Amino acid sequence: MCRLQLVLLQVFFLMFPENAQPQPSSSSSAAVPTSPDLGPGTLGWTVQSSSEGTATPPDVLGISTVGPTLVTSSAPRNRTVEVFPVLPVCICDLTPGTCDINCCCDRDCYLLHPRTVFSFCLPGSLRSSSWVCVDNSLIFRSNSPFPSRVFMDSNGIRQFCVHANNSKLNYFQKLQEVNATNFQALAAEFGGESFTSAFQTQSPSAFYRAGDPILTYFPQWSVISLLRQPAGVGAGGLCAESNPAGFLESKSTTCTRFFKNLASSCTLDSALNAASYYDFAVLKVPRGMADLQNMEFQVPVTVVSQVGPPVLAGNTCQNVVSQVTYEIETNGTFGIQKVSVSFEQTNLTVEPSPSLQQHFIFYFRPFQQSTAAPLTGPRSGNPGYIVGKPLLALTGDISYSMTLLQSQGNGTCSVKRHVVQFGVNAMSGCKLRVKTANCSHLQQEIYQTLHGSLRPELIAIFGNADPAQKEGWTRILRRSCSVSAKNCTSCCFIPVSLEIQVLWSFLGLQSNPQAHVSSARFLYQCQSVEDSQEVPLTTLVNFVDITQKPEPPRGQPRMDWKLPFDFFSFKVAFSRAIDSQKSSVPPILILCLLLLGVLNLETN
Amino acid sequence: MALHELFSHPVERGYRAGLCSKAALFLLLAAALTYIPPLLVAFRSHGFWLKRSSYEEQPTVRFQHQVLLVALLGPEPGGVLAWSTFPAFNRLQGDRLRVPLVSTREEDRNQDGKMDRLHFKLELPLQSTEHILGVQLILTFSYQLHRMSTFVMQSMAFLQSSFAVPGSQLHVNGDLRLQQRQPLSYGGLDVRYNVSVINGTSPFACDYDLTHIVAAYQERNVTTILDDPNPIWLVGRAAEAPFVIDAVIRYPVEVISYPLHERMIKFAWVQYVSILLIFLWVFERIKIFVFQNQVVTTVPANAMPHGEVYKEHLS
Repeated sequence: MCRLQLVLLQVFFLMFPENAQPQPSSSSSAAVPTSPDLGPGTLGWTVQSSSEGTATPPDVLGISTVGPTLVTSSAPRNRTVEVFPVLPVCICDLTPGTCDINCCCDRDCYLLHPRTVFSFCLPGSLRSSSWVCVDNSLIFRSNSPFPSRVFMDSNGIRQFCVHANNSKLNYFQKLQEVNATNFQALAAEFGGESFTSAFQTQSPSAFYRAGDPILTYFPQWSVISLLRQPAGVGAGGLCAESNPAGFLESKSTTCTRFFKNLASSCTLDSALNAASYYDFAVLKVPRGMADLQNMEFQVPVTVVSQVGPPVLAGNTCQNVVSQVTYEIETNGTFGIQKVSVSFEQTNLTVEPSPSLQQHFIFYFRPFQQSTAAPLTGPRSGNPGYIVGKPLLALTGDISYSMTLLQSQGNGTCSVKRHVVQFGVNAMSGCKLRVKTANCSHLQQEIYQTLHGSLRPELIAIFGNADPAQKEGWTRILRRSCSVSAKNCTSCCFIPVSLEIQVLWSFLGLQSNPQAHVSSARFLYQCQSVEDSQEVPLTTLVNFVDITQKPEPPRGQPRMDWKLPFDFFSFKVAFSRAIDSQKSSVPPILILCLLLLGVLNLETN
Repeated sequence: MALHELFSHPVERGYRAGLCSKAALFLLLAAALTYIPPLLVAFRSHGFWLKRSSYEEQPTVRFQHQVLLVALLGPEPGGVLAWSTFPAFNRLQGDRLRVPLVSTREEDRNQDGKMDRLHFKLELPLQSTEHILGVQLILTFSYQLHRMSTFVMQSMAFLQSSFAVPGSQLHVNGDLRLQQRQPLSYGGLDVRYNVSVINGTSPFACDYDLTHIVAAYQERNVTTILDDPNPIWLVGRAAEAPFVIDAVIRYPVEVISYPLHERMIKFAWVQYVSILLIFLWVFERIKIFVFQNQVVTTVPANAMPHGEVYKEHLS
């Protein structure tokens, strides 16, 4: 017991060291009576006790050099540090011949004690000295040979400071030699991120790489430009004209134009004029920039479709470009070999202020294959379908994408159709205006509206199905509604909805599964209509994943398996008898030890 | 031959005193101070009587392919276009019905059998004179939790967004978050809210009124909300272009709270015993000190081995 008391006593003294050992100037807490503040030059510190040796001759930069013989503040004295104001470098003396206000070192003021006149001294007008400070509570006893002080900083925290007079540390002495050779090196070594000028010139490369902008040349003006693919930009989706097309990047963009005064801009706006999309030459390789007179490096743009310039006829602006399709044939590093462009044109009414949506489509394809393999559409996957790619259907020998009907702005059925994407459930509807009274004609028209002009008979099992090989396709199951269900002479039994059900599943490796269509079914819902002007039609497609997942590969549990995130890394205890007997030993052992410990305490 | 200490055991020592003596009182006091303060310490440090706890689970969410859309037209007041997957609602709309093209896809990104997000795209065809300023959209989901109680509910994501300028596209990218007003039960099957959000079989207009749907939905204690602070509107629709709503709704892992009934004694016991062990040790030392130094008067019995003469004294 006595030992314990001794230990407690030691702890007590360690926790309250002030009682045991005197700390420098910790007791001299009396406030300085005469000096209200030393000003911002000394960070607002109030000197509580000072050491000797502050009245040394002034140094060049106002840093007092104190000899190492001056020992610490063992005998604290309450006095104000009043530095003589005249400094060799007075940074606040900005108006010569006049006393600058609050500039305590200004000789024009002729003040011996400027703080009696000024409310504070500007930073830099008092002698500055280099103090290295730490929190006072950290210092138990100072045996430093340098003068030390305890300051009160602006937050009221006492700081213990040592006056260091190491000339190497206190002055900016080393100057870097800067000349033309090391200018950039120094800027790079010491500089970080900074503003840079936007223009960076680079020499033209020998050939285009994927994603490079394509260069064009306007011979009549001798101007080099970029092949543009205007794209919608910002929240408004307005056309950014100068968006460049990337080499080998086949893609389509859409943007919107609004016209305030179409009557004048119809013929003047170059974006509406087809000629502005082919009236130039494309450079085969960027190197062609160097020799613009050499026609070998230039490829003319050939127009495939019939085009005419925009014409203002009455209230309509005719031949306005609504779609531009570039087909560019490339040959590796030899660059662009052939460029052809086709247009779709439309007519716009001048009043009220119209808007136009323009589509820009770029196709890149290899030079040789273009003639050999005609008209094979892109694959929807190789071999398995990719989600979002078109679902392929076959009628006769014609392969095409399966489509759903689509409605126009006024709700009636549109000629445009929505392409069914693999894996994406979709639903659409429209109203069909009934033109014919003949029931069988009406039925035929509605069937055509529901499944498109071609009636899909086969569906591609994989995304790369070849129309010539019929084993790659599976027949679409159909369930038509029974027409002769009712004995009704005046009414007509017509299909009103088509549901396309596609069952698909994954095949192949689990790490690289390939989606394939197992089967598809067309379900028609019928209804009898009597003398109706409009028939609402609906088409929908549903994809059902019928993949049977294989059993996860799991072996017998082993002894060295550990539970995830286990702190004690106990062995896994499975239900197997031997394993559980073996593996539950350590926890039981620890539990027993714990219990023994508790019992031991009790019996003591 | 040097001798080594091979074995040792403490020697029991008895102290005898009357039942009404100071020593007995001291022992009583010490026992009280040993066993009651740990209880107070554990209780005051909060979390002693845990009433509820929580667990994490990714819900099994499936989009039910039920959509109700109301598009608010402007700038003339009162213009509305509507559509839903409910035929009765569509019949009620008359001229205001506009059938959009809807495409949806649910995606299981990590192949764990639970859907992770829904891609929803709706293209509403518009005439050139129609301008959409606001959208109200309801999507319904079946929402299931399995880890503690089997909780099955039909919930909805309600999106209402408007913009001052006629829009062309609305992009939503948010989470379908679970909102609990009360904890779910510890076990069992919970199908309280396995009722459809919208009564699609009803022919009455009031059943499709958004205020009624939302009011009935908010009566539930467990709901889901679509958490997307910033739907993005794009403006500048060309005359023939449709209005597009493009939404990505994620099904995140939820923290679900559940009540603790019989389990709370376990947590309390663990806390109590861990503090009690320290008190037992300290008071054991104090008792030994008190009795050894005869702070309270007792008659020390001689040191004796276990169970030999001890019984005779008792008898």
